[in-house]
Amino acid sequence: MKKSYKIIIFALLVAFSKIASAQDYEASLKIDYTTEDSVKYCVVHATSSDTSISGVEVKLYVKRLFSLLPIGDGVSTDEEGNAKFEFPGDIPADLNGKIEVIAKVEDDENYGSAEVHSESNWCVPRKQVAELERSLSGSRENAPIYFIVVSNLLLFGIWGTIIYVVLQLFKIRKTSKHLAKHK
Amino acid sequence: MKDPRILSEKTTYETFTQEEYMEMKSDLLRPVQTIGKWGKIWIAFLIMVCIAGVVAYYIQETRSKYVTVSLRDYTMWGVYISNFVFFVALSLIGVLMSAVLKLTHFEWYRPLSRIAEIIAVSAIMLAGVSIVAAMGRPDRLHYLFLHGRIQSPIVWDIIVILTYITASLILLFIPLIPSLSTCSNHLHNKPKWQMRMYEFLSLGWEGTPEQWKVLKKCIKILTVLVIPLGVSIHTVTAWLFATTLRSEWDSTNFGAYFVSGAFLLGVAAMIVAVFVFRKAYKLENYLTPMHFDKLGQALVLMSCIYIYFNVNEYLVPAYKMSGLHANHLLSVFIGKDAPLYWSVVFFGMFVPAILPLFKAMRKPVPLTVIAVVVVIAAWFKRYLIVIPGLAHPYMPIQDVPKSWMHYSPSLVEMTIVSATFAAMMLIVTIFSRFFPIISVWEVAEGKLEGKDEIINYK
Amino acid sequence: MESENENNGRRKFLKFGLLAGGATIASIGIQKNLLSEEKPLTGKKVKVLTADGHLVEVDSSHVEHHASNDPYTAEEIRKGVEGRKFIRVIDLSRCANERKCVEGCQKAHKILAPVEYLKVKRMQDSELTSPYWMPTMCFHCDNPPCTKVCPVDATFKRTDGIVAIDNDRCIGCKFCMAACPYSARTFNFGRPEQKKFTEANKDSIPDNYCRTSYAQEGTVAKCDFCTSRCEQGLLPACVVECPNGAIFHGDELEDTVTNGEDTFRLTELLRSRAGYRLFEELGTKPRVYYLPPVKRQFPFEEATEAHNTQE
Repeated sequence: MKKSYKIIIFALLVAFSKIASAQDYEASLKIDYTTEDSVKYCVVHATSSDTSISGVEVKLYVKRLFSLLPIGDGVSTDEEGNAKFEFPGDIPADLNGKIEVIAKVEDDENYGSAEVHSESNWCVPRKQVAELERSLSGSRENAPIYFIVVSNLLLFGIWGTIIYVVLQLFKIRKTSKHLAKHK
Repeated sequence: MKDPRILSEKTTYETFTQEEYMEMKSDLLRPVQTIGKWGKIWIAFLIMVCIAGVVAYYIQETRSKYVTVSLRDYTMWGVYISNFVFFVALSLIGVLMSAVLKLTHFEWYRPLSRIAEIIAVSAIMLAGVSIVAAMGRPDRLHYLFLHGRIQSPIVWDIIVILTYITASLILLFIPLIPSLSTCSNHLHNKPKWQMRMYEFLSLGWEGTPEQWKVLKKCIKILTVLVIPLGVSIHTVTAWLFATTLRSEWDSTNFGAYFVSGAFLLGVAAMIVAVFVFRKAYKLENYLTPMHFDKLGQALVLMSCIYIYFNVNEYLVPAYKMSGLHANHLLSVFIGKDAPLYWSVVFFGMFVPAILPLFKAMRKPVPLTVIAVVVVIAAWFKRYLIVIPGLAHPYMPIQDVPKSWMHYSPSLVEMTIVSATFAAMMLIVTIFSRFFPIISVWEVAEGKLEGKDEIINYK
Repeated sequence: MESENENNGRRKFLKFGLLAGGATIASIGIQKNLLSEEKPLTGKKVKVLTADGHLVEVDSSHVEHHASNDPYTAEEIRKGVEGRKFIRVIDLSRCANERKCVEGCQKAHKILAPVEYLKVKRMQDSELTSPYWMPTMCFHCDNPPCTKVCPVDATFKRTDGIVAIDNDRCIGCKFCMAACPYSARTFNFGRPEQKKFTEANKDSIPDNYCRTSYAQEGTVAKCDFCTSRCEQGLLPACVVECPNGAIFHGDELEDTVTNGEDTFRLTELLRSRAGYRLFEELGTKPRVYYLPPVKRQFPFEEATEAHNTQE
């Protein structure tokens, strides 16, 4: 009984100290884009009350529809407070033609969490969504032209013949003498 | 055959007298003139089965189909679809027994053609009914016309079936015109509306040379047209299966395989029909042992062709036994469906291919027995094409309730299927009670032209 | 049929009621945010009466019975989500047949076992190789054999890659089911338990709710990639529910897939892990890829229990 009591107290203390430390220092992040030897880099600068902070693990993401796509692994900031990420050049753009880059510090011991969003042009244009083509698996409006032509030719050919025969039958009626008499 | 009138005619057909023609007319009009007790009982029986079918359909549509019907996600096409295939196959009887024989100048077609055509028309109608019975939402049937996609084989099927029904009905009607005028001239004691119907439908037929010319021309055009149409309906029906990505139906052979099966079924059904009409309507002078002899020979030929296609359809994949085909093939060869499969092969193909080779087996009674066996086997053959194929998809069937794995038709389904048969026979029966089932003028014309093989046989 | 008409009527009534801003207090329960997912605004404004008697205008997404929770209309379901092409990768090495995806899917679409849009199959390629579990579903093929055969355009390919079904159009011919080599489709035969369940849960909004609810009686249903969730940028129910993160979902044009926890570049994932599609030789071009069951996270365990025993 006593033992568990102590454990709970200890846990509470640890938790409190964590919250306290996180509230003590707040980190803010800034994203810069640089190109060196035609390699694109994304540099995240971490500061806390205007002084650069080092040794904080920063993660870089690109926002996607369902989730955030991580760019490389997390990088710790150097003495100048910079975390440098090599940025891939082939990330497809969002619907608006740009990408949203997000840098995050996640649950750091001293600085808690922080994140910054930034819009970037370092993306490749999205592939266009192809219009639905005319195909056999397409909808009614997208039937292949040759298909419509051939089936209509067949239909008109056959039904034309049938209609011709029916019209011929009326000839029999017309030539009838006793029907004519009735009239 | 023993009719002295015919025997004497063999040498003197030029002297085919008015008297004899009148006798022939009265022979052929007899079933229309009077309906006997058994005829009425037969019609009443058929109507009762049809009513049972309507009740079953009402139950099926108003209650949960999960309860009334044995169809499940894997075997979602059941006995209705196999029955549909059977009826489409049956409707090819009109092509074979009327059009093909007519164009190839097999003169013995003359007394058979109308029987074949009315069976064709009624079968294709009931094929349509079977499809509607299989539909999940029959209340949306008209969507096929409102929203039809020309790329879908079902739409092709609807188009060719409607075209075939139309062409067959006209082809049934045109040679009927002179018979209608015969009816209106020679029938008596019939209700007024019936006589008026004959009068109206006969289009003022007087048998003038002009009218004959038009009539013959129309018949010729339609006879030619109906052959590709008939082949199409069954080929497109085969495509309903062959255009899917299921291994057991994935065959370039399928259209021809279906058509050959339909021709075999057509001959067998013709034999049964000829036998029944001959006995029931006492038409022994017109539907002669010669017809049975010829039909027996045709049965052998068609069985051989059908066996050929079956070898292609089953034994070639079986030789390769690819993983895709193995499940299905093994289930029909040695598995659950094997007893049915081998019975169908034996009774539906080898019996009709071998037995009628013997002359004694081409006599009316034995040949009819064989034909009945073939018709039954043909129905189960369609069952074997549809159901085991569906029960063996590419993806294994796992972790489903028992009823999802095995299909056996429910009482409701079987009642509806029986009703489609009854309805088909009812249409044929009623037709034969209003119109002469054998074309009077075609037979007479053949006789006049000296084609004594029509009703005579050496 | 009758209940469907009723439903329609009910929907119209509700819309009318909301727009009129009348005494619809009963229906202004604020939408609970499930799993802390923010519902995006629909842009449609509706007038509602607050508890203290004021008439206010709020976005329709805040109201329980708003149109964006109703099943899709025929026009809505035909339009693909703009600029998207949804795609899926399933990592077979992560599947332990826990069936959470199946259950989550059934819940989200208000369907009862034994109907499963998503099935987990025990596969074994040969006797010497190890068996593995394979979640299968509608693969939303780019050359779909099912839409090819549909006679009335009731199932169709959308621009966003989803193969959808218009349940008001379907005539129940089941041709699409015969055509699908993956047995992905299921038919509503009107199982009595399901009918009762559907009726009882008409208005409920289950976890991971998806607007394409179960098919009308006599029509076909199947996996819809949780269309309405995709539209809102929410992951489909099966992806959310999978405890092992075996199912990755994403937008092909963003070249990204995610299981909610891990996010990968699609092309990299498929290249490095030898992704493949089921029955490539059939030419259906599925939009669901598989990663082979190598370096498994779990040893294969036979399922000891049959789940769908009840008729």
